Amino acid sequence: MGLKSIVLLGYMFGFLWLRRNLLSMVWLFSTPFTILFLFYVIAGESALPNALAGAYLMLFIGAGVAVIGDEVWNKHEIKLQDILVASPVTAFDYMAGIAFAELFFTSPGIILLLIPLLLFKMTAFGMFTLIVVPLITWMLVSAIGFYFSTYVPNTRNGWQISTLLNLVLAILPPIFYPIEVIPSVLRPLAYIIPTTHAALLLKESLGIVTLTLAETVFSWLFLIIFSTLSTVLAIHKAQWRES
Amino acid sequence: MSIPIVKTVELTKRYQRAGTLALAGVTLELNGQGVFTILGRNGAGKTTLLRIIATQLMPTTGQVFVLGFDAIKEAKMVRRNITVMPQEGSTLPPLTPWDHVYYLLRVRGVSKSDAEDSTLEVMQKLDLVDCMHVHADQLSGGLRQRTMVAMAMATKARLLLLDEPTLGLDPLSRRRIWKVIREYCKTYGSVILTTHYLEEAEVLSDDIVILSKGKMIAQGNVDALKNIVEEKTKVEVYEGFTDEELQSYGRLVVVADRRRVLTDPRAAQELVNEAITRGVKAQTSPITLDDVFVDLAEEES
Repeated sequence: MGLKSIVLLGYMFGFLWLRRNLLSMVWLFSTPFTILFLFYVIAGESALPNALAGAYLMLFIGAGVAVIGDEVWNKHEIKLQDILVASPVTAFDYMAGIAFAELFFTSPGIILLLIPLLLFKMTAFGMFTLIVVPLITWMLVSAIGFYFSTYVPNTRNGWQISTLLNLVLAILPPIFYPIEVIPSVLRPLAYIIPTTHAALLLKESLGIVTLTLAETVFSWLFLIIFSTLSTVLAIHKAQWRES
Repeated sequence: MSIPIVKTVELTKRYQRAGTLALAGVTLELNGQGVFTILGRNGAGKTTLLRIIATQLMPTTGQVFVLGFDAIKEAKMVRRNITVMPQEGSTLPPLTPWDHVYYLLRVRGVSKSDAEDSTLEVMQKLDLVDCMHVHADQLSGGLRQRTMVAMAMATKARLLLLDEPTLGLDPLSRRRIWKVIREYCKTYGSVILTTHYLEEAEVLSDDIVILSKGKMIAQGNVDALKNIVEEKTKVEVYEGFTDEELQSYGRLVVVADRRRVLTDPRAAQELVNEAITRGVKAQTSPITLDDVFVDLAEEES
């Protein structure tokens, strides 16, 4: 099964749902675009490149975080997860399927933001970074989201954890603003958050920041290792079968 | 000898957070192809047992074998051969009954054409054809419940686990589901269900397991269970007799506002005659599973 199950789950939970319930798209759209608007209004045009990159990355983070809400709902409210646990579908298929579904909800926002971002001068590698880094981030956050969702005891806690995760991964770290703004004493804290590295790489690809080769390699490695570990954690330590 | 559908050995389950012992050493064996019913009061451990069999929940101690596979170590093999309808499950609001059944089959690895055939077949059996393309949020609770049953049945799994499949359904819909369950057993495999409806258990079951406070207190077919109760006739009396008077005819069992006298046919007739003389209502009938269940539950408590 594998890939086929993932695509079908994504289609079922994402495309079919979205086609018949357009309202579902609004909330994933609203936060990144609101923050982008606020940065523009408060800090002016100079803040726009950072904020555009931040909003674009936040859509992928949001897609990953949304996995918690949907999976907790599937598990505790409609019990669809119970049906899938007792079937040949694996935990990874399910996690990836739901994560894929979330991309349908954010895709209009991604397309909207890609239009101004593609106007930035970019190398071929920059273009690659613009596509791949957000996808790695989405995978990483989805895996963390899935892991948490299997331990959340009820739906309300699911909403609370996803709000908290969004805060830690997308609002507080230097996603929408330059890392230099953070006091140097707090900067190491920002560097332990994987989305900081995703934002740095993305902004470098757009020419907003300049990174040394060592910094670029470190950020790529940090992101790849973190996403691999979180995926392994999700597959092996998530509570697919309850204990 | 054929492999048991389900075999459990000294199965226990303790929920750490609540500190409750949901199963306290259940050893049972379900053999042959048929409908197996798990009966019990609220909190007896029915859903816990079903979820352990379905590989959704790990037991604290003990062993579980499903269709010959170790459900703890060989969950993957078990999952290929079973399907589940969870208790109080629901449907995805913007999706139709067709979507629910068809995509679940596809996700399980069924080919497009087979999934289409099976979906249509189950829609017809469960009388869902007229609403199969209506969004679930526009369906009645009963139709949504039938969609859940359809999702399980369409898989044609060797073992179907249904947790209260007729909960909230009207009497006609319940009977339709009973018929479909019986047909399923003849064609595809076995069904294990939990229910609170004793009439449902009596009509459907080839074998019944009664749980009380996490323990199995009885197992057998309907006739065998009825033999647990010594008396074979009951008289239901509503008024006009004192408890002492009723006790002189047989064993008095009080269930809510109803009083039942379990006795032999001759004494039952005498009690009915006396009721007629006094001008009060009394009904006599052979004992049912309900009487057995009440008797066993009372004994346990």
